[in-house]
Amino acid sequence: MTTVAPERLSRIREIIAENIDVDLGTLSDTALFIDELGADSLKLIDVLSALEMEYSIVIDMNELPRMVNVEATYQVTAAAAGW
Amino acid sequence: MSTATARPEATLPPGTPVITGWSAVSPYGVGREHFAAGVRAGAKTAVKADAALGSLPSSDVCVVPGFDIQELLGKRGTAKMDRLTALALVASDGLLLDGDGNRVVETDDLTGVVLGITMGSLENVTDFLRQSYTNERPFYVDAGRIPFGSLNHAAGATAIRHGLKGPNTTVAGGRVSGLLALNYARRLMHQGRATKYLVGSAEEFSAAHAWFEHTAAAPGDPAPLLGEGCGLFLLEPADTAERPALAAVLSVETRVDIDDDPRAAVTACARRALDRAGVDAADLWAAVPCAAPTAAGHAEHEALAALAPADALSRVPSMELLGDTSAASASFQIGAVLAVAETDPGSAGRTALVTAVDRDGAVAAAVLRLMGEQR
Repeated sequence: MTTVAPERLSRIREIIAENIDVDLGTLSDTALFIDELGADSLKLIDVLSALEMEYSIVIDMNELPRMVNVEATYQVTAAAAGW
Repeated sequence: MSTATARPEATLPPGTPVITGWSAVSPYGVGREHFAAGVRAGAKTAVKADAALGSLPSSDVCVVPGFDIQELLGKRGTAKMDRLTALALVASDGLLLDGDGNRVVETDDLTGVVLGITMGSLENVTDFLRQSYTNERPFYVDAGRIPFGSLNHAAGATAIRHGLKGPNTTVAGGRVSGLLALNYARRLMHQGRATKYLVGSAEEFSAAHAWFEHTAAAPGDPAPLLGEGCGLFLLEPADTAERPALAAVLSVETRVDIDDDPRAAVTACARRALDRAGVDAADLWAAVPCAAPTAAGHAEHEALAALAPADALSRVPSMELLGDTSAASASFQIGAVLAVAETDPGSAGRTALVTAVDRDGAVAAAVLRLMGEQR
């Protein structure tokens, strides 16, 4: 598992909060997007596409089911970006 | 209204669609009351554009004052919402809810929505396309804005917000779209497809819209003064209406100006609407053109001036006061008729003609009978 860079984690948290419509202050790193935060698969695609644009990367759509919370989304992004 | 007089609705054929409520989000402000007061005062709405709107072809605009989407609709689901959808949602709240947010209009599984537009949210579509062309890769776009780019999003979002499961339709007809929507609702109610309709039309102001209109203007013409907003009505059949009727829709007619003679087209369309309504032009209480700042708009005014009595033509202040509100204009014209009628007891039982003409040659006319009810 990649070592977490705090600035990148913080930015990813912002992107997620904006795209799944939750308050940044209440978004924990382990809360489940769909089961706990009321997101749907369409919103997760928004997250994926926003991360791709932010870091100029391409995330395989097959990674979408792994992006269940902030922590996991960071790992998926890090793998795609080669951090 | 005298109790000795037969109520106007007693003379309506069964099933005649009647307007039983209305709301407006306009350059006069958010809400029917601001619109009605502004229209009755004949107040101008043009202001200097906010710098946040970016570079514009004209510094004057007629925008809805204080229209903050998240403040009016809350934060959830609105971060990427287009202005057109927000205008329609706020107008629908004004129509169906009271000031405390409680539902005051009953709806059922056959309550429909039909909204007239021009091209949806131009700003949303152009921003999205710009991202695709200018970002590093064509698919680096804000995917969260995609749903707001569809033409029927505002009508769909209105139905979802209020749980309306009847027919849901968007009519893209530019300046005539408010009357096309009215005709659509009238037809579907007549066929038993809907028991009640939210019907109206909307236009948003944006830099993209302003530059589009500037480019489309005839050579040498100044950039048009643009407005925006949404007018919505509650339409029900007269015999099952749950609220007092404000106006009955006696007829709606449409045609296309194929001879490049808008005056003749408007005259023919208005005459046919009057004939179908059984109304003599000389008896009109009000005649309201869309007042588009185009050659077709001037021809429309000439046509009505030749058709209707002078006092009918001056009864309702010119729609020019709101700027060119394009798709929203016909709904604002009807709202303006209702606003003036509600403070004039002499309007009860009288008739109003509302016309619209688009630069692509579409022409429409509606005849309403005012029922003398206050909202």
